[in-house]
Parts: sequence; structure tokens; C-alpha cells
Amino acid sequence: MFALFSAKPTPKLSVNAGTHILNLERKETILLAALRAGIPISNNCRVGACAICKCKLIKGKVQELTESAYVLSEVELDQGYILACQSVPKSDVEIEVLLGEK
Amino acid sequence: MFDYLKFSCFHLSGLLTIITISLGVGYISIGFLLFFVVYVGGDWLFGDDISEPEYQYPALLTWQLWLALPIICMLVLVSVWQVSSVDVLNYGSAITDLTGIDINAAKEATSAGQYWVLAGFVGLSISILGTLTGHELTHRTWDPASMLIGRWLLAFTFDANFSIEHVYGHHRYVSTKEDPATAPRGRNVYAHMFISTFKGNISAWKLERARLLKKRQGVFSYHNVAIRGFLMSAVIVALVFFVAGWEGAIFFAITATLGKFSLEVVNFIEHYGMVRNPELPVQPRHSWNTNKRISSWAMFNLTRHSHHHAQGEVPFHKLKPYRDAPMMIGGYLTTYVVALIPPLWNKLMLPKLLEWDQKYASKEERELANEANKKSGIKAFEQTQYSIS
Repeated sequence: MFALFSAKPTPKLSVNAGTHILNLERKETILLAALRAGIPISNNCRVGACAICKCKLIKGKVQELTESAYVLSEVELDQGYILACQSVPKSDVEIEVLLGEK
Repeated sequence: MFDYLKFSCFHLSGLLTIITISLGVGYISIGFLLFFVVYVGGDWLFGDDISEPEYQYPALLTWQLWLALPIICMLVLVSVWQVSSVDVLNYGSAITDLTGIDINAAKEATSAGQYWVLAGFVGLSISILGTLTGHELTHRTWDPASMLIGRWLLAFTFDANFSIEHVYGHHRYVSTKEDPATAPRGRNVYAHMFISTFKGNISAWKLERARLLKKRQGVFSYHNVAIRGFLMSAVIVALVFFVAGWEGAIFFAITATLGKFSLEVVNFIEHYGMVRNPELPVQPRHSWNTNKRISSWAMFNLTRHSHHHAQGEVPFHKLKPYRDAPMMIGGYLTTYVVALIPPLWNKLMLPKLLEWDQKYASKEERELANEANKKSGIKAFEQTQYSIS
């Protein structure tokens, strides 16, 4: 019965078909979580304006903090691209991203 | 405790503005003068604040930002009451009854000449109360309440669409030729007010239009955030007209425009003359920073601008006072006043920019600086060319 009141488990993030798997903290963006775990997702402005940190959402749901349509192309939007710096996972998620250098 | 209270400088100066404007006559000029004395003198006297307190209750700080909305509403009410021929919302009678000071008589005695001072004073205050907090709040894309309050605060300077252009334009292109808000070397601040206002609005419209087309939504529809932004300002003008008539509405429109121009002065001093390759990450060296104490307290750490641009997602209370960043001439209002005197500005910024080129610029940025120097129209810049080896 008390399970109802216990905190929900935080979502898991899987990068590039399970090459990296990590637990997210509450309300954490994909980019900040990845950087915290040493996964080098390329990034620049961190406010959702430059699209350097774009990645493809393969599985799961995210809350987008800004309108990614400002910076992603129509094709990218259709293919399910999201901005790592502006996406907070709502469930376990899997993403595909080209990793930069550390 | 003090770390929370120090930002109330912001609210206190807002209240002081409201009180001096209510008192009318010479008090308006005294209030305006006091503003400069406190901010320019205070920064000169009290030096830097480089503390980095840990905040356990950041919600208290967010409330301080939200509080700007009722204060700005009050400021607009009092200022249009002062110029209107009617006793707007019975403000004058209510205050006279409450305090025993006959502010209606003072209002009668306030001359048209003093309205000019009033317009400048209100323009500056609106820009501090509205754009400063609106900027901080509309960066908080994760918090819908802050976004809404922030957009309304910006609407008081006809600039709700700052929330589009600033994030998707300025933060992406800062210190490059593509950024409307970055002034190139040699530009005059008065020209910048018009150029940046115009190009910034065009940019916001283009960004919004492109977004709607991609989402297959109508450009002229409810979904258009830019149109909604202009309508928000129209609502404020209409409300002012409703309570204070034409005189009030026109006076408000003048002060709102001055407030927007005032924001452009701030843009001007924050990035003047800097250069960058838009493909490479924004670094602390791409903003003029200052850690002056009074400016930081009264402006919610907007002063710590180098960190803000390097990491746009960080809320104001977590910004760090980068001490090695390029530094403005002085505190915010000091630098602002210098910018308004172009010969003085050019004289003081020339050595600053040449130092920037030497000390901070990358090899590529020195090439961009060569180009900027050639186009500056200022002899001392034109004569400076770096050899790139």
C-alpha cells in the first residue's frame, strides 16, 4: 500500500544501443546526465539554440523544455531528433548520438 | 540570510522610484539623480562581490524575480497618473488620505519640463525592472510560470519576443557578425539602439515563422508566439489608455520605447567589439564581465555575464564571478553612462579591445579582429593589424 507513496524510480538512459547505460537524477537533462557520467556528447550553447547536442530518440519519452522546432530541420523532427540539453526523460530512454572527443 | 536579502536592492530602488515620482515636482529629478549616485558611486566605493553562496531555498530567489511584476505595474500606474489630467484610479486621493501629503497638489505643480526627466527616469526604471528580470525568467524554459511572468515583464518594453530572439539568436551567435545585439567595433550606441531593435525583431519573426512552417502550423495563427508577444504589449497600452486616457497611453509608449533602447545600451556594453567563429563554443572571453557589488546585487548577477553566456542554463544565483574574464569599464550603470558619451566610450574601449585581442583572442579571432578593425571607421583601430603566423 505504501508503495503508492514511495518515490518513483528514476529513468535509465541508454546511449548507442547500450554502449553506455546510466541512471538519471530527478529532472536531469540527457546532456547533463551524460556529461556527469563522462559520455562526451558534443554541445555548445546549452540553451537549445545551436543544435550541436542533437540526438535521435530511439525509445522512450522525453519532456522537451524548449521548442526544438526552432533549431532542428523538418526532416530531423520527423526522424525523432531531440536536443540533449533540453530533454528530460519521462521514461527509460534510448538515444543514438555521434560522440565527440572527451 | 543576507545572501537572500542583498538582491532586495532591486526592489528598494523600484519603490524609491515610485515614491519620488508620486511626490512630483523636484523630487522626480532628485530620485533620478539618486539612482546614479547610488549605482555609480556605490560601485566605485564598495568594490567587487565575488562571493559564491550556496542557496538552500532558491524558490525565495525566484519569488524575488516574480515580485518585479507588481512593482512594474505600480511604476507604470504612478507615472501615467503623474502626466494624466485625471486622478488615475484615484491614486492621488488615496495616497493623500493615507499619508496626509497632498500629492494631487504636487502633481498640479509639476511642470511639463519635469515630464522629460520623468520619461528618462521611468524608461530606465522600466528597463531595469522589466528586461532584467524578464531576461532571467525567460531563460528558465523548464518553468512555465517563470516563462509567463518573464514574457509579461518584457512586454512592458514592447519586447516579449526578446524571449525568442535572445535564446535562439543571441545565445547562438553572440559576439559574431550574425548577432543583432552584438555591436561591431566603431558603432555608435545611438545607432545600435535602432539597428539592434530592428534586426532583433526581424530575427525573432523569422525564427518563429520557420518554427511554425516546420510544425505545419499557420504563421498567422494563435500558435505564433511572436504575434502573441506584440498583442501582450497592445493589451498593456490598451489598459493604460482605459485608466489614463491618451496622455497616459502616449507617455507609457514613450517610456516603453526608452526602456527598450535602454536594454540595447546594455546589449551594447556587454559584447561591444568582440569577435568569434560561430561554429566554436562560446567562452567566458566572449562577454564583458563585471563583479561590482552594487550592480550585482541590484541586477541579479547579470554582471556575471561571462559565465552566463558560457553556460546559459545556469540560474543567476549559481553564476560565478569569473575574475579572469574581460572586464567592463566599471559597474553596469557606470559603463552604461560612459557608453552614452561616444567620444569617451571610444577612448576608454580602444585600449580594452586591443588588450582583448592580445590577451584573450585565438589566432582565428585575431584574423576576425583585423577585419573588424578595418571596418571600424576609427583610425586607431584601422591602424592596428595583427600579423597571423
